[in-house]
Amino acid sequence: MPTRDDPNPQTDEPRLPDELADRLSAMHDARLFFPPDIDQAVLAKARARFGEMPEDRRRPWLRFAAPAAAAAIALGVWTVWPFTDSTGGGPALAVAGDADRSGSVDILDAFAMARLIDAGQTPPADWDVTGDGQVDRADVLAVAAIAVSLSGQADVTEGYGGIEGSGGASS
Amino acid sequence: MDTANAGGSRGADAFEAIYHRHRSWVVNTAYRFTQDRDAALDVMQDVFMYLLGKFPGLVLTAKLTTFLYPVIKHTALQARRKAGRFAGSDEVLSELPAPRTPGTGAPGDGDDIERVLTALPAHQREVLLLRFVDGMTLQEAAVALGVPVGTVKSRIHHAIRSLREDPGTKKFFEV
Repeated sequence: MPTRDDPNPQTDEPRLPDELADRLSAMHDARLFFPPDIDQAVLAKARARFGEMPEDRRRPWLRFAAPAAAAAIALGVWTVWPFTDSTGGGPALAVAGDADRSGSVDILDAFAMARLIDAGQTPPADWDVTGDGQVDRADVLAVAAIAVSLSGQADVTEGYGGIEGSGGASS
Repeated sequence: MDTANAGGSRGADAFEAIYHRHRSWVVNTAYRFTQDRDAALDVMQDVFMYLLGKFPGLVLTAKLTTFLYPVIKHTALQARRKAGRFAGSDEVLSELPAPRTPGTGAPGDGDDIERVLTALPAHQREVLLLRFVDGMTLQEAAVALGVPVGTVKSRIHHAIRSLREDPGTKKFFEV
């Protein structure tokens, strides 16, 4: 008996054969003609109603403008800051894997590294967490592994395609 | 919905989009109770006026159809009651025939399905339509009807059992 796909097959939801469900739907799928005057009446009332609303209700986005601007600035700083350095040589990592120099290694470091690598830019050499002489996705995976490890340490030689090197530890 | 809550011309545009997206469903659903096309259109207008009155400030915790269903049902039953044909909502529901479609006379055709649907208790037919015609989930149907999910499931189960056992519809279960 073919039945509607159950998005959650674990449930014991009663089901109806497809053909019967289709017949039921067809019976209730009346093609209706809506007289234009009805549409016009409803929508005219709607326009009148919405036109009466107080001005501050009309632009709710203004309430979010300041927080949104602050968030945008913070995001911009966060995005640019790790890739600029007063020494001109890229960020100096006090902690291996701490790409954004926040003082600890977290998933944001992996994200920042991935974004730079995916953008085709040259990452700082000291992002070479795996110690293989190059900064690539293996380093991103290594930093991600460090970030999610309970101990703050991760063995980057296993589970990441034979990456060699040692993972740094967060402070 | 957020745009409609904003009011002004943007809110009106958003409401218009909501109206055009849901008006057919509202009328079809109202028709289940009114069995009268013009009355269903009247109900549709009342329902959208009710919805309009909720702006600004409408916060939906479920799908709009789930929110609107009890409004449609209540409004349609009131209209039916005002027409003086029935005394109470339970009676209205139990007397509601299923919508008619041309039948061929063969088992399982539109007439048979209609007859079986009509024979179902109203609360079973109602939940069957919500689930398999309107496409609501069990949870959504439960919210729309204001009953526990287990009740919805039980009603559907009994409705399907009736359909399975009825000579007019059991062939659908034998494929």
